[in-house]
Amino acid sequence: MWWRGNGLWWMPVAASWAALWAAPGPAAAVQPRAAAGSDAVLGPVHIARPAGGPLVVVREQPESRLVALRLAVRVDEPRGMEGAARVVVELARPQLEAAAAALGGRASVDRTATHAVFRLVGPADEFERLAAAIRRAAAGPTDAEAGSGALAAARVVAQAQAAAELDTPEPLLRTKLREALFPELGVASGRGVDLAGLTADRLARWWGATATASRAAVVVAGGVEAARVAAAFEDWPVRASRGGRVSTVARRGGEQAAAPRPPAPQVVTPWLGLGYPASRLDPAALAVAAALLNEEFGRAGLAGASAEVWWSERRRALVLIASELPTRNGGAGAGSVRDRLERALAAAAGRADGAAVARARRRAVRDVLFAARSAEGLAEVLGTMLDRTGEPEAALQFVAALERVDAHDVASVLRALRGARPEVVEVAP
Amino acid sequence: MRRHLAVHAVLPAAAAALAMAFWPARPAGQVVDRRVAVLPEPTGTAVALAVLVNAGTAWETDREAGLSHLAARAVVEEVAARLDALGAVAAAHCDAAAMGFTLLAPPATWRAAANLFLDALFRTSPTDDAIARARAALVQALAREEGSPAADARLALREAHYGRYSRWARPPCGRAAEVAALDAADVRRMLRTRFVPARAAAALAGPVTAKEGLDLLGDVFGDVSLPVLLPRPHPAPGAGRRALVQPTVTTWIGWAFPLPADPDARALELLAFRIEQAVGPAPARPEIYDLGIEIERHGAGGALLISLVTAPDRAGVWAERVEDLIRRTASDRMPEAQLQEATRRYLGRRLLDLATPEARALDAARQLFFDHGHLPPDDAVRDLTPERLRRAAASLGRPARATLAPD
Repeated sequence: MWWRGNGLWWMPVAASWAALWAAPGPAAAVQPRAAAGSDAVLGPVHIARPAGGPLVVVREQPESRLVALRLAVRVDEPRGMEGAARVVVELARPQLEAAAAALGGRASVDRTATHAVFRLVGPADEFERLAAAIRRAAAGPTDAEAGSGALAAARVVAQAQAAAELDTPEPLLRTKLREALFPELGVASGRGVDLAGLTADRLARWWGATATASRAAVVVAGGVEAARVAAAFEDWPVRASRGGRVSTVARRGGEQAAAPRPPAPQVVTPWLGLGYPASRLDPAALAVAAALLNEEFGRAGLAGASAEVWWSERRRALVLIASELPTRNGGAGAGSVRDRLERALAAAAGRADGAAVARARRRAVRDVLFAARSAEGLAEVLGTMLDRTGEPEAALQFVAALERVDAHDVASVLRALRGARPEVVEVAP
Repeated sequence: MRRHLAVHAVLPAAAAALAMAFWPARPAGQVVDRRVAVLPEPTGTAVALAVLVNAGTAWETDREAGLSHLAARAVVEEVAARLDALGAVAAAHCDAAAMGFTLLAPPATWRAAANLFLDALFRTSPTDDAIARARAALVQALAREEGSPAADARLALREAHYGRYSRWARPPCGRAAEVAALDAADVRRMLRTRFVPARAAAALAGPVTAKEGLDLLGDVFGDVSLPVLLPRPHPAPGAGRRALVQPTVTTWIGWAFPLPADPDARALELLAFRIEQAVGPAPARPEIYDLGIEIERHGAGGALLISLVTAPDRAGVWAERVEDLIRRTASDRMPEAQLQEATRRYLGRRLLDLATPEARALDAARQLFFDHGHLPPDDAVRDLTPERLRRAAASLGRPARATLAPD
């Protein structure tokens, strides 16, 4: 859900892409669009909704010999199914990695706070085979792939990932902050839920209802034509009908499985997170303010501290995270870290003149452009922004908006943040 | 209704076919001379410049050991803050035969960043402060690595191959104690005498036009018709043996296979990929902990360096497999179908290795430096044949070998 360091934002748009592509017509309409102007570095992107398929966004790079595909499915896990998306992606991982290796490519899967994400990158000449592999993997496990051994293994991996978010301080702090700032996202990791009740049949029926064309988006960047991409994702997903509705609780009688006790975190140094709700603030200015704050942390000797912009479709927040090395008398406690973070916020506000903001803005723009310098990175930048906003051109618009941020915008954001009451999360030894 | 569906099915296929027909041929507009190359990538989001300078441990006297690397790091340190203000970053890389630099910049500031960097590299001298900062950071980094079994094993292999007292047997990036003793005057002298455009190769990759790139590189590098004169090890490398015993729990085996004077670098890279696929760490080979393969080049050819880390009781078996694989590749031509399968995977790997503009620029600069030309990866792979692979394996000389094993 977030980029570390200089974050990105979602720009509210009046019209949704869904309305734009609901126009009648049997074939995929592939249109190049450059919302941020002709000089937009990340675009233009081609947008299509192939017949019976997901939203398709393509950044053509004719000179590139690689192509990167990213298929994301928006996931809601009802009660009793928490953690199911992690199991699905772990079941898909072996076949996707094997398909990638056979084509000289690379695969990865991920469960973000809001989506199940399947990624492939490989030679552009192999695009059709790569597309077929990702279509197959994201459609859900077949009966053979979700056999008892594979399912048990995927459940173990999913539970280990969930546990890893709780037994080390920084991921635990982030999880707690996310729950405080974005309560509507729920517990994406599925921690505390007994995945043993997740049978292959229940999983397949739930994924069948979840992984529909209307909840999925494909982003492709690299040496492939948009029309070929649109053609490759027609009529997805195709799967055998299993019928029936998924039960949303693990046991009969509506009783949920007993939640296993979360692991105790291994904490050596105190960690503190301050989360400032910022849904009403200009997101580009917020991102530049975060870059300015990161510079200030370096000046203030807050090694390892970071300022980040987090956002989902409904909310945004500026998050400050820091840890403190223990002192001889047992540590000064999180209070002193909080003081230093708040002093850094005040100092950044005092220094936000034209030159400092220009420097921070260049760094913020650079971070996005450098992240997008490979086909894989570009697909990730475009796709992550799309996941957060539902807007296929959000990344392009964001870079354009970043370029327009001035000292007045940043000063106004920092003033608002200083006047706001943050969510405070501490993870202490 | 049926007719409607038929149109529905045909249209996307037709659109795809039409798009393919008008898809531009690749690579577009690459300009390559003997020492500079411009790889225009109009849709890129960052511009990368790579420079390889004919400096390094091979040119250093004993008293100067590590000086080239320190000088390179001092140049980067000198301009780091000013580059940051332009949104750009630079890095230095050390090889035995060359010092490498990469610069990465946003499209809006690449020209200013490149001029700033090249000016610092070839025209001005770093300040005492920049040299002191670079020295402190480099000494710390080298000290962290020295004394580890891996570092000892690498050094033992170089000594076995080049001879114990050869300049080439030294660690290519220097030793902490030697670097700590170098002063600012040494650094400036090294930069003046050895870091000069006439002894360098450079490549630009990213959203720049061929003209923009050539204008910039032409101003700095001048006449690029003469290739870089590469250093040669003296005396010629041999097939020495070194065996170390240390309190470790793994066994390290290293080979240095000498290359011929004019090596077939592309076929050798495919051979390295085959070795990696056959012997590298994998779930089916739990006793293999690590495998490193590198092709080190110099004026007399170079060496294929292989290092294998394995469980001590299986070391002999795996050493035999590595040598046997090379022997078999040298004697038996690989079936065409098998080569096609191997090259498909190998091309994918090469393309992934070159996924970023700085990797592509550095690869192009390396090719110019050692081979005086540049071949994009797909062209290089397309020309590979079973016979070329066989000949490349057969061209390897008798290897030097070093082992590091538990006592």
